[in-house]
Amino acid sequence: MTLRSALKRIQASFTRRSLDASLDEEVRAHLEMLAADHQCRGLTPEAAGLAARRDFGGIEQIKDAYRDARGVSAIEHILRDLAYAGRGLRKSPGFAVAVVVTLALGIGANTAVFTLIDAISWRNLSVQDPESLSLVSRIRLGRSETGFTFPQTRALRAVDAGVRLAAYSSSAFPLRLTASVDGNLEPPINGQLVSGNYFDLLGVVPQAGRLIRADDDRVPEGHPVAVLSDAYWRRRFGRDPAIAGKRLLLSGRAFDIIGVTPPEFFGVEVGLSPDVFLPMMMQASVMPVVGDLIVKPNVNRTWVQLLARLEPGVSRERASSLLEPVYRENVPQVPPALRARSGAEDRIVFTPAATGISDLRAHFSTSLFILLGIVGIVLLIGCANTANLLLARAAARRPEMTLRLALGAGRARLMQQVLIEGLVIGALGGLGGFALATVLTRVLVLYASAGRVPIALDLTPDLRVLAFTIATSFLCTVVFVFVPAIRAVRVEVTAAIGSVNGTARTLGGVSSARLLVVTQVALSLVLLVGAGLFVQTLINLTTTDHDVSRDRVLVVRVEPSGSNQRGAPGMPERLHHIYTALMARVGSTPGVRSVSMGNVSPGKPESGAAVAITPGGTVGMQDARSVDRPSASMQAIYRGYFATLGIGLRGRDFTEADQRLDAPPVCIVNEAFVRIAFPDQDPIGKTCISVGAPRRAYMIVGVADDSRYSNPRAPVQPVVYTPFFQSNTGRGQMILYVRLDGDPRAIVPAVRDAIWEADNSVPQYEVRTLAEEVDGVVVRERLLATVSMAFSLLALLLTAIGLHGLLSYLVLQRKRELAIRVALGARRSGVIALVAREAVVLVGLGAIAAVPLMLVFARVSVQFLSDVLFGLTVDDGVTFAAAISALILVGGVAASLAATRASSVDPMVALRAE
Amino acid sequence: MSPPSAEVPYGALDLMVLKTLDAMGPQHGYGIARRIEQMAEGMLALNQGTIYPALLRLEQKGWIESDWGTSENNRRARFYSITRAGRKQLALEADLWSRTVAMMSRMLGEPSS
Repeated sequence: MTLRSALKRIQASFTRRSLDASLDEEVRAHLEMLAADHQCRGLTPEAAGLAARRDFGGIEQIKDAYRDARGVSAIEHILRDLAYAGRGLRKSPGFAVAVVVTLALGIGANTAVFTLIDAISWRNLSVQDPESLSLVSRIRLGRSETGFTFPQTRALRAVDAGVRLAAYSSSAFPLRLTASVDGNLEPPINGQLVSGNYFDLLGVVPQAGRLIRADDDRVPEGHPVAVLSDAYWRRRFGRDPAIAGKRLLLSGRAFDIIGVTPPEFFGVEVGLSPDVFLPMMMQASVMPVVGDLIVKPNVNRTWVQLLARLEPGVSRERASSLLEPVYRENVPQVPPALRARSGAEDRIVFTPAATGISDLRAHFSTSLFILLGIVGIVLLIGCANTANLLLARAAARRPEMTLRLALGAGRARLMQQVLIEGLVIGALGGLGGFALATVLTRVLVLYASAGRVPIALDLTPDLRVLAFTIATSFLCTVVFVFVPAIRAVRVEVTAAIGSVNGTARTLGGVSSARLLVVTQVALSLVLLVGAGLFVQTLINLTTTDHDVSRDRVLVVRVEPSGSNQRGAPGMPERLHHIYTALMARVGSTPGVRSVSMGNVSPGKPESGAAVAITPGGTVGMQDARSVDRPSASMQAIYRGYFATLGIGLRGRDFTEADQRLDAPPVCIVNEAFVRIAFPDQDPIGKTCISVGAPRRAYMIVGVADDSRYSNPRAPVQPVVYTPFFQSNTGRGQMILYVRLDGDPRAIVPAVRDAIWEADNSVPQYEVRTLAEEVDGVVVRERLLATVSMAFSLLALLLTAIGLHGLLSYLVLQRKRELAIRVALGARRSGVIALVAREAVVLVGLGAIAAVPLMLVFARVSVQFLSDVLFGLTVDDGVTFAAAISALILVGGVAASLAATRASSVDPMVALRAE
Repeated sequence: MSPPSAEVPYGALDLMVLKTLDAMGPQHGYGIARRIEQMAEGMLALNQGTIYPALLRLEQKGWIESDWGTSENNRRARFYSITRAGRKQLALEADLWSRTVAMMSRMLGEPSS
């Protein structure tokens, strides 16, 4: 067959109907002309018509030969099967919807999680030649860190090491900026400081105006220019084309907008998306809290990260060996003793950064792979359900299949038809799943963004995601269509032909259906146990403080100017004045029950100065110095702190008198402190001694319950709470806690106004509830717990549907038998027992099969899981018991529904139907 | 018993159709069938319908083309005409055919020695 005729034939296969019509017309014309000629020769019209037919030959045979020669029969058969499958699905919409929705959910969930993994871990940055980018990190005393001080980066950038270095501000020093356009205060935005060669090195091209250049980053405080991200430009300025030249007030300083980055550029840190990029030299203006780190660098503030582009032919090893000596010259010397203990020399390391830099990767990738496993299992369960539904359908269609086989249809041809139907279902499920995934991905990201900074990811599906969806859909199709396809054509013509008209009495397919249901039960048990573990973890993390009203407590970060320089003369007094005024003002707002301040907040543990723990209170002032002595962290608070946060307290709270500058030092300790320092004693009235300067002896006036809210994941640490003036910490930033009587949303604006009225130099930060704060800290655990619970419930539902479907099918199969039994006097309870026995066997087998599955699962995942579990181990008995009870409950409901139907068999009706 | 008419040898029908169209210009199916019957002078048992698969084959190969038109007695009919490639093919096959016939008659005409 030449290519030309092949193409014609393929084309013909798709235009079958119109071609058939034209052939009909042609044949009709031929016959008419032929008959007319016969008539001319003197025949009657009837005889002429007959003669014409005789001359023409078998019309249908000719047409068949014509059609065979015209198209490609395989294609035509497939098209016919597709049409048939579509018709079949349209005719039973319930079945179609159930199957397609199940698959779409499964495939959608898998695609969504995969999209996230792809976006976080595998996607290359949208910059020029990402493969030659590296992140520069340093290893000091055996620990790898990515931050440098500004002078270090300046020294490193001056070295000619065959590598170009660009700098940007680390996300460990987040740049939250109060923005103001046209004099209006606006929601805070995220910024990033970048060196003058940052955009040039990345090869980013502006979509409007220009980007920051080397000229824009020479003099400290000298270049108030800003580049907007595409998202911020769109969000705030409606893509205003004349944006360059506009003014933006950032944390009180005016910046000229000079340009906009392209939409595919999100910076180099995956998940973070700065709204504005500012020159590095503007650091002091926008990071007032940490002070000017360019002019007066602090060796402990390593706020600059280095991005490197290797020149062709330069290896990462060579570049780092050239940079190392310079780094060592610019870093403080480590005491020789410490150096000897930790061993390693200072080193510089280049890590490939083609996919960007990400904390998300470390934080979420284990969780995401666990989620992928979970949704994968759900998809398998969904496939098993689909297979069962198809089996039931195949059984219903058995008479038709038998008849067709008897009439000479090829088994391959019948199998093809079942396969095509499966493919249609799979494709529909895949399409639905793909659409669903775009929504699900965004929901997941929104959910995971409950932390401090919203996560911004490039979520447009790429080829990898598309390939994943297609492969998953196809794989599913293979899984769920395999058994039904085999069963559908394994029909014994002679055995089954007798029952063409009745319900098929041979129980073909039941054993496979049983196997599928047992698999479903086992898999959903595994899922339930997994979800149970994650939920337990979340509960352990969030409920240890037994405080039920977290959503009634507001958390407000307040950083009045100068709060970072508590050491400055007069500053503590000034801050104390601001804080007390703030608390008085907010405390008098209607709806506020109590208000206090403290220097620790969830997720941002501020280990204050240490306090020596003095066993039995026997340690004297001089002994407190000992290095090996366990120590407690010191936290500065105001009175009312425990009441506001809902932490129990015995002894007494601080008083106004304790909070004065010249008050005698007093403290409140927590139970963990008491357990170490004063076991079996009453600590109240005893003293403890602070290690740092000034050394003080504090009298213990109260004991607070253990609270892990500042770092839920760590075990409870001993804590010493002191009044603000008496704490030894060098920093003065405090967090305002407000306990409310009613709905927070109604009171937040009033609280905001109160803060503003008390001191309008306090920047307006977000006001959140304590519950939101804690959720932000345990976002990963909450994500795992919620999603795994949702999906294991879905799995359970699917399993219940599968179980119920199978039991109903069995009842239907045995309707006649049951009817006879009932007619002969069998009790209905006997019928119910029959169904119940079947259900117990199925669930029991599933549970037994789940045990080895779970052992394998636990063995494989123990490392991942111990990462994400808290306060329990993989073989948690309670979780297992709960999972099995849930399964038994749901199995029971499914079985009782089927049993009810079985016992309501009316023998007269059932037997008459035969 | 000698049959009054013979089955159409394989491939011969295609050649006949091409020749007919070459000689007579555009024709509808009935016209072609009638012409072939006339030329065969009753020596051929032709089911007229069988020319349609042949026409389809030829068209798929690009040797003839077709278009709807009106027949002599005002019926809508599909008219076939030979293409340039078809003429070339006709020349080729006619040559091959006559050589085959010559060879066959040589073989059959000369008793084996």
